[in-house]
Parts: sequence; structure tokens; C-alpha cells
Amino acid sequence: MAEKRKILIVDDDPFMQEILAALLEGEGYAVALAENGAGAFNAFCADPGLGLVITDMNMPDMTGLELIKKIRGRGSDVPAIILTGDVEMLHDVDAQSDGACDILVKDETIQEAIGPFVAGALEKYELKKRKTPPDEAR
Amino acid sequence: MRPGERISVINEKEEATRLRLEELRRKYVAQIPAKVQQIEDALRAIHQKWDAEGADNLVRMLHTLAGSAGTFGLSEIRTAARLMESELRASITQGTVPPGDVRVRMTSCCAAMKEAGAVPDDITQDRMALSPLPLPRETGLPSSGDTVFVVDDDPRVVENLALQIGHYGYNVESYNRPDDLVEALKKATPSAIIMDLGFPEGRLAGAESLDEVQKGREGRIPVLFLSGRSDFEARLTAVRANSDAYFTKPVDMNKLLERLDVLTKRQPPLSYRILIVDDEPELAFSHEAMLQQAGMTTSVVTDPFEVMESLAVFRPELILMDVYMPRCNGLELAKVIRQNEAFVDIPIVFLSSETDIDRQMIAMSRGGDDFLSKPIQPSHLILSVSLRAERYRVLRTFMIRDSLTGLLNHTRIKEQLDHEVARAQRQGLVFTLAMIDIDHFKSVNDTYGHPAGDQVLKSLSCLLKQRLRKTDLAGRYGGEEFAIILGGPDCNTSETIMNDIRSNFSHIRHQYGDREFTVTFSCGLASFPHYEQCSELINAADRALYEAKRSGRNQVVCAPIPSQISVAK
Repeated sequence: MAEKRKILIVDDDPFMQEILAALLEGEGYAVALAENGAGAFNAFCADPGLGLVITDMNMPDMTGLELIKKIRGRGSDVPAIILTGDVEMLHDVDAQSDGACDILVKDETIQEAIGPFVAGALEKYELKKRKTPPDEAR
Repeated sequence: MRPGERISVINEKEEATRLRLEELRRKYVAQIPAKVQQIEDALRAIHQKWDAEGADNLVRMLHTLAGSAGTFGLSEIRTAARLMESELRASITQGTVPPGDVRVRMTSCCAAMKEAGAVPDDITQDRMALSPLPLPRETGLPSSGDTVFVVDDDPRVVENLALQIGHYGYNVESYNRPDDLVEALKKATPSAIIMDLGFPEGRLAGAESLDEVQKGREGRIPVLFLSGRSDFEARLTAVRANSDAYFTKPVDMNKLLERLDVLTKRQPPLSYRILIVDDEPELAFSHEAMLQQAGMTTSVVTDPFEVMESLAVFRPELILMDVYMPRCNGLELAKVIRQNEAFVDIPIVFLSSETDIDRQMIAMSRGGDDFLSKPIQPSHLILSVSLRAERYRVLRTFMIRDSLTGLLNHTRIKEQLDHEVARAQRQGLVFTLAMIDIDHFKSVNDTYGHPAGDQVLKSLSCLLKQRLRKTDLAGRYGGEEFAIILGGPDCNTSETIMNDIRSNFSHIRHQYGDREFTVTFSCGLASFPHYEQCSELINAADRALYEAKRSGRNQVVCAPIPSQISVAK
């Protein structure tokens, strides 16, 4: 089983932060919380132990996509999952090409789906790391 | 131990998580009324004086509420909030003050949220557990988990009602005495109560118990009386007891259900699709405007000879049809439409200047469902159309869904595939058919039992629901076989999508008692237009699926592109 990593949860709604934290801690992950893009970016830069980012799409200071772009701009390929209330965002070509690994819709299936999605994203990342020699890492 | 199985004891940590989630949910639900009140106040403020900033704030509040409500499983609040949000966004984009009908819709969304937020938490939990997984496209699923209490001292009446109402997606609980009802109401709140008037306790005991029933409730429970009596005293007593409907036995089930639907305020429906057939363009477009204002999706045909094509492509849920057209009158057209098995039950509402009852009756017998006389009152039109379209939807739902997973059943997914092929040919589209088969499913059933197997199927459906868009379709093709129609992507993109789902699914920890196990699936893909016929697509996807199994399972394989198609560029 993959090492449990630390997950950064970004959402301006404290209830969302809490439920995601509860679900992920229940799966054995450690979590860090942020309530906006700026805070999240700072937290990300400060903590090298973060293995995955889950971010809300719609936040006041920057969108989840913008946050991910910023993180990528720093040269990091950390797996990132976007949360959206909007079903239509699924398979959004921009989101995928800008480095989001997955998109989750905010409905009740999220409670069951989040564990597998996170585990899947982490596993994919591990596999990619193992296959790619360091100097060719994307 | 089988591959993929782990033994874990139900430990304190999992229990702790469960409790934590429950507590969080309680907290969340408790603050909902205050949140909704804030929204209501904000809405009132911008109705009184439109203010762009206020509107933006309100949109933000609604978006946040929809997201969290969805996550916590409060789907009615989520739906209402999203609807309201989209109405408001539309007004903001246009830069105009919302017109009257939009305001009305937003206000009723507010009311829906208030009502949903007022229901005690234990009922909401039940709804979460019971609601089938609604899938895109064929929407309008009853928000089942709507519970109805039926009260009658005659057990046969109760049984019969329970059976019939149950078919329409309600959960029914039955009681024989008003006292039992009152007891039951201490523990749960139904969406409605259907009750006899007379009991051994007294001829009007049902009505007399209503005070007790509604006492101390924040939201009234709708009550429908069903009585053998139809005399004036009985009816008046019912009215005085503040009931919502009165039906006499033997009951007209359709009418009872229509009333029940209205009273239990089912989820605001997603756009009904209405086909308008009228040779006078002005009239057609005027009716179209009325229906669109009410939020429906419409298509207009002015030449009856084009109707069949339109049916195949637009797939309406109701047809609004002029009777007097030069090349073919409405009555004949209805007959032609109904020759086709697929459209035998589609509601047809006739419009005409005809006020002669006899001719109207003839029209109905030729396959119409209702007859409206021009000039039409918009509200009358909208009501008539909505009721019939909704009923049609509900009926269709039960004929087309697999009851365990909520996905389309075998017949329907094949039918949908036919439609997609036709549509893709006509419009030059691309789509992919994915066939999924769960690996070693028989072992799962043999080792852990069928309930565990059912849970596996439900989990997969859940995952599919998360990943698929409005334009995708998923159906249960067989016992452990699923068929998915991915609209838009070609084989490569589809392979990525399905691989993601495959990976996610393989990580789900299914529980059986104190044991855990994981399950995988294999998948075969075939794309249109590489394969042009329905049967070719199914065969190719099946062969690819077989290849996936042969190569070790837990993988996705694309059908090879037929060599005739590769043309040097």
C-alpha cells in the first residue's frame, strides 16, 4: 500500500474543509487546510511533505485552476484534484491540460468517491515517478 | 486469503470517523435555516432595489450552499440553490433586473430550501440512504425517499394503496389507526399522509386526529383524505380539518398521484422537452415563448411531414399539436405517431379553436391526451403541459431503469445506442462505446454473498455517476456488465477516462462484516465512426473486452481501427 501522504485541502467554506478533512483523515491521510488561493500557495511552498492538493474551483481570490497553475509554475507536478459544484466542468479540456489530475463534483457520491480518487491519483503519480528518469521528469 | 482481500477489524478509528462525520453533519444541518434566511433576506433586498454587488454576493452564497449541501447529501437544497443561482447569473450577465417570472422562480427556490432545511435530520439521513442514483439526461427521477404514510383500518385498502403508490417511487408506511399514526409521527416526518376519514373510533376520527398530527410542527404535512363517504358533512369536516385533498373510494389513482406529486413538491424538474407542431409560425413561436419562460426546452415544426424526424432527433416528452393543418390534420398525425411503438405513450396535447365537446372527444380517442382551445392562457398551457410531461417522465423512469443501480436497463441502453448512432450519422459526431465487466464477480458473490455483490455494483454505479457528464449515458447491460456511451471523445481520450475510472474502482475498499476486499473490472472500447452500426460497435467493444480479460484483467483495451478506414493523408 502506498505511503500515506499529507494532503492540502483548499476551500473557502469551513464546512467543506471539515468534511473533507474528516473523510481523508478517516482514510489515514494527514491534512493541512487553507481557505483561499494565496494561503494555499504559501502553505504549499512552506511544506515539502504535501503529496496532493484538493482545491475548490470557485474561490474569492483566485480559482482552483489558477492556484494549480501557480503551483505548476513553481515546477511542481504534485497531483491536484479540483472540486466543483458544476457537473459540466467534467472533462473540461482546459482543466486537464493545466495540470489538474481529476475533477470531483460536489454531491453526495463524493463521500464514497474521494478515498478511491485520492488513492488513484497518488498511485498514478508514484508510477509516473518510477517510470521516468529524474532528468526527464515532466 | 484471496488476492485483494484484507482482514481488518472494525476498529475504533473507523468508528471515530463515522461519529465525527455524523456530528459534523448535525452541525451543518443545524445552521441551514439561518443560511437560508440570509439568502431570503438578500433576495428580498435585491428585488426591492437591484444592486449588482448584492446580486454577486447572493450568487456566491448560493454557489457555496449548493456545493456543501450537495456534499452533505442534502440534494433538494442543492438543486434549489443551483437553480436559483443560474437564474440570478443569467440576470447578472444580461445586466437587467430580473423579470417577474424569474423572481417568482427564485422565490419558490427559496421556499423549497426553507422547507427542505426544516425537515428533521433523521429523515434526511433516510433520504440519503434510499435515493437511487440519478443519472444525467433521463432526469426527473422521483426523489424517492419521499415517504408517504397511509392510514386506513381496512388492511386491503392499505395494501393496495401501498403497492400502487410504491410503483411511483414513494416509500409507503402503513398504519391502521389514527393513534398509530400519531405515535409514528413522533419518530419520523413523511412527505404526505393519505388517510381514511372514518375509523372504529368514530366516523370522523381521521379528521379529528389531524390537530394532534400537525401540532407543534414547523412545516405542515400535506394530508389527503380517502373516504368511502362523499356526503357534505364528510367533505366539510375534511375542509375544516385543514386537509389538502379529498378523494372518494374507489379512488382514481392517476388523480391521487398527480395531487400527491404536487403536494410533496418534488424536485423542481429539469427542462421538459416539448415539441410544438403548428403550421402557423407566429402561433408556434408564441407558444414556444410561453413554455420557454416556464423553463422548458422546445422545438418547433411547422410541417407535419417533418415530425417523425424531429421525434427521433429531439426526443420530446410531450407534443403540443395544432389540429387544423392543411397537409395533414392533427388527429391523423397523432395516429401516425402512435403507430410507432416507441411513441405509443408520449403525451399529445391538441390545440384548436374548436370548442365543440364532441369533436374534442373524438380527438382524444384518436390518441390525444388533452385538448386546449385557442386562444390559450399561458398559465393553463404551462400547467397542462407540465403535469403531463412530468407524469410521462415518471412512468418512463420505471420502465427504463435498473432498480438496483439506478442506471438504464439493458433494453434502454441498447435503444440509446441506436439513437446515438443515428444522431452521430446525421450530425457527423464521434462517440465511444465502453463495455465493462467486473472481474471475478461470481467469486465475490460466492465468497461474500449477494448483498456484498450488490454493494459492489452500487459502488461502481456511484463512481460512474461521479465521472460522467450530462452527455454521457451508462446502463447496466447484464448481471455484472455495464455499457457506457461516451459522447464526444474518440478512443484515445475514452481510454484515459475509462482507465481513471478503472483505477479508482480498484481502490474502493468494499466491506463485508469485518472483512475487506477490492474488486477490479475489465473494459473494451469501440468508437463511432470506426464502427458504424450498432451491432458492429457492440461486437467490437465485446471483442476488446475479451482481449482485456485474456491479457490479465483489470485493464482497458481499444478495439482496433478497421483497416479500410485508414487512408493516407
